Amino acid sequence: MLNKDRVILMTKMASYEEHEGKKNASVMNYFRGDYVWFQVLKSVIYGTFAFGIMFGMYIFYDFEIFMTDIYKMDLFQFGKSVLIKYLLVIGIYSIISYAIYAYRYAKAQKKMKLYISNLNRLAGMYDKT
Amino acid sequence: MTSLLVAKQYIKKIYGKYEVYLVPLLKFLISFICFLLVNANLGYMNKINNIAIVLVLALMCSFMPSNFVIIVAAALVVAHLYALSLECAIVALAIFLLMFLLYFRFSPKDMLVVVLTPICFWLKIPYVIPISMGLIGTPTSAVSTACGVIVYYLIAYIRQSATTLVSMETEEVTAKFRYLIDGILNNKGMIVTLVAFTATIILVYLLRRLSMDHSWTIAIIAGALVNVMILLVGDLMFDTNVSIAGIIIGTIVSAIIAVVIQFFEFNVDYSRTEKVQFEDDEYYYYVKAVPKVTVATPERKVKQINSQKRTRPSQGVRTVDGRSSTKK
Repeated sequence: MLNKDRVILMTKMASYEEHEGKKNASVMNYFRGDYVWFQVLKSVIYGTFAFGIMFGMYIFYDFEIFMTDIYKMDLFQFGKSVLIKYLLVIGIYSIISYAIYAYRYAKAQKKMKLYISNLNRLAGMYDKT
Repeated sequence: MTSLLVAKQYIKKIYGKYEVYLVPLLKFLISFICFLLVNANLGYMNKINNIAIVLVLALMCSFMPSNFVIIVAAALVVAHLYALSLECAIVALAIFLLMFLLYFRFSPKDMLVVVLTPICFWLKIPYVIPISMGLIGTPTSAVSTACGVIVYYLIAYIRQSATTLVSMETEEVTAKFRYLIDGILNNKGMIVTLVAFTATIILVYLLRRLSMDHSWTIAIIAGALVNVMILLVGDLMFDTNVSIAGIIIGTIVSAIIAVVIQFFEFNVDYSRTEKVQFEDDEYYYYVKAVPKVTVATPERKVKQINSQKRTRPSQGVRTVDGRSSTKK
């Protein structure tokens, strides 16, 4: 026989699976540390590209002056200052992405717990009948 | 007010019923307007400055995820700018790439704001974006809005200085590049707008979350006032040459639109009609779950008046009312 409560619960769970569930399940495939650090690593790669673009634009902006100065300037010092700026940018960006992804993992975990408790409830409903 | 609520209910009902068709239609309209605007403002490449291409692209966007429109729009802008000059295309591409790489990795939901902000600028009501994003978004929407503002000012600046750029000789690559970067970074109007919009979004967000009566209305009014004030003070300090009447009228219109948004958004869960499939040991289920209507729409009332007889006054008026439950 059809059971009304069961259909309602199953519909809610199916709707969750369809939308958020897929995303959360892919998040929950990882351990927390693995997920967050993998995302931070991705952020570092993205950030490096972005820094490259900004650096390229900065050099191109004063390209003629840069080309005349390149023989005079202390390249080691220049490289060091660029590296410090790079580390600073990447550091701040990584911290922000760490916070965001740690929060997202916690949120997905909470939703997943609710989903599992609903699954148990559903199993209980089947046992009763 | 009740009739307004009823109208809202009707709209919700229609939306729920035809959502499958309405969402692609809305996507189509937004992308169509957006691509038309790009072509109208920057129609430098004749090959793509063509209504047929715009239609095909907009149709494509109506079936793709909503973020696809911004990628197509960015590609169109870069293509037009490439036809104008290579340097413009490089600068625009770099700015778009920075946006995609740094910000949209985190919040792909907000991406549509980047398209809507320039559209609202063109409609002369850009102030509707910060107020409504404060109402329905989060403080991080400020970054999306800022991206939209930058895109608008980038296009406006290039359009304004197109003749200068064309007249510059082709050998002066770095000079052109410097001219563009300087123009974009030193655009005081853009900086003042960015500050005003960011402050407005954060203020509206903070106020509408306060637990007091009419917090949404207070948030809209305060946001509109702060927006006008910052823009006017910015005009005084940096001489941004904005039209004061334009700001005030634009903000008033924006506030009215925000009130409409508030009416449709406030306290309403726009849960959609869900169509799901699942199975257990006994059945396959194909369930269509339709969200419940919260305000009952009025049904026709039948009032039956019998001829009165003095001897039996209890039979005088019999009223048959329709459904009038007001579950809220």
